[in-house]
Amino acid sequence: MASPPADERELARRAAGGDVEAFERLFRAHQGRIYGLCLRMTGDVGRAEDLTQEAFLRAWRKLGSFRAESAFGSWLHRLTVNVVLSALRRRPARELRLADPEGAEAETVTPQPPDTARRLDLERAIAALPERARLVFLLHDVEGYRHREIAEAAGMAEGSSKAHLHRARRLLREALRR
Amino acid sequence: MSCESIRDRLDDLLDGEIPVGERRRIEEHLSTCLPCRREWRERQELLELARRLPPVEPERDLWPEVAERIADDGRHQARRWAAWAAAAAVAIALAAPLLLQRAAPPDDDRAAAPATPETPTGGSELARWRDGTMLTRSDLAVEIDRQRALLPSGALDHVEEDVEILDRAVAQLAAALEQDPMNRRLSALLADRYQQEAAVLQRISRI
Repeated sequence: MASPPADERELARRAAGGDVEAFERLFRAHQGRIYGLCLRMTGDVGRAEDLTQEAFLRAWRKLGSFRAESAFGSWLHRLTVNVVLSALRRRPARELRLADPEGAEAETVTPQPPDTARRLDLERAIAALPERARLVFLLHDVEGYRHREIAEAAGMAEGSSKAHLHRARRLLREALRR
Repeated sequence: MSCESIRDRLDDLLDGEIPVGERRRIEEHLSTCLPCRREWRERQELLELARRLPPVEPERDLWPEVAERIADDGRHQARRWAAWAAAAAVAIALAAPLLLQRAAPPDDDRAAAPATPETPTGGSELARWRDGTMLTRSDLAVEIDRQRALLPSGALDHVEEDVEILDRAVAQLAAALEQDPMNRRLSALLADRYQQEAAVLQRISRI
């Protein structure tokens, strides 16, 4: 359960002063969202775990630059997107395709009530998208980024971001119809 | 508008990127064309579903490794702080006695030329050096506060003692200059002192 923002600002202030316990509370409050973002962007459980840890470690080191007037969650989220995009840029070309989307899904699926079936279909379809289309879809439609922000973060033209989004949506619609 | 051209624009409609006039035409088409309306509804549902994707809890606890890496950072940082505390202590030990000795200049310094003529000695230049030193010190204090919990016991005491020595030397020079404001040598020494202190603090900040 996420703490209210005011509490989070206080926790962030304490963490910036070296309070590891305060930072752990922030970690616990945000790890689901951050891990979910990493998992969906990479489609790989092990990589998502590594990147989640890397993002929080980076956040710990950069807490001094966190501005108290902004929301800690938003700041952490942007930092995580940069960590993931940076990791994906460093990855060797031979790994560019998602190796085993079914395997990734099997790792993440736990017993769910029946009304989540469509969401799971969507998760599976997202994991099977081509990488750039997947990243743009997640950032735009799931996380609410604008094309300008995606273009800046991912190092692509705004027009490319838009084209990837339209392609991703089309592929997802086709996958969900099956 | 044809169904094909309408469907080409549905994503832009979804994202609110269609001018008002065109939007009205598309909406009129959607109200009369069932296949296009279905397609539109399908796109809306996909977006709604995407926006409701929940957080995903990891299968295992990721915190212990993060905590361990934070502790590693702290140990590494502590070694660096201990190193710069020692470096600062050496720099100050070398500089302080000389400065303290200089703080009581002979009377004939009042009229004498400064030992280094290019050294700034004007009031505004002194103020500039002082402000620069205070700014550097303020930055360093913020960093010390941030790292306070990670420092080994004793390291911070060393730093604070060293800074106190620096402060005393500067204060003695400033007091002597206040008593004898026309003393150019004192003025030059104080400016020189501010520069040295700023340089030491900047070196500490970089370690």
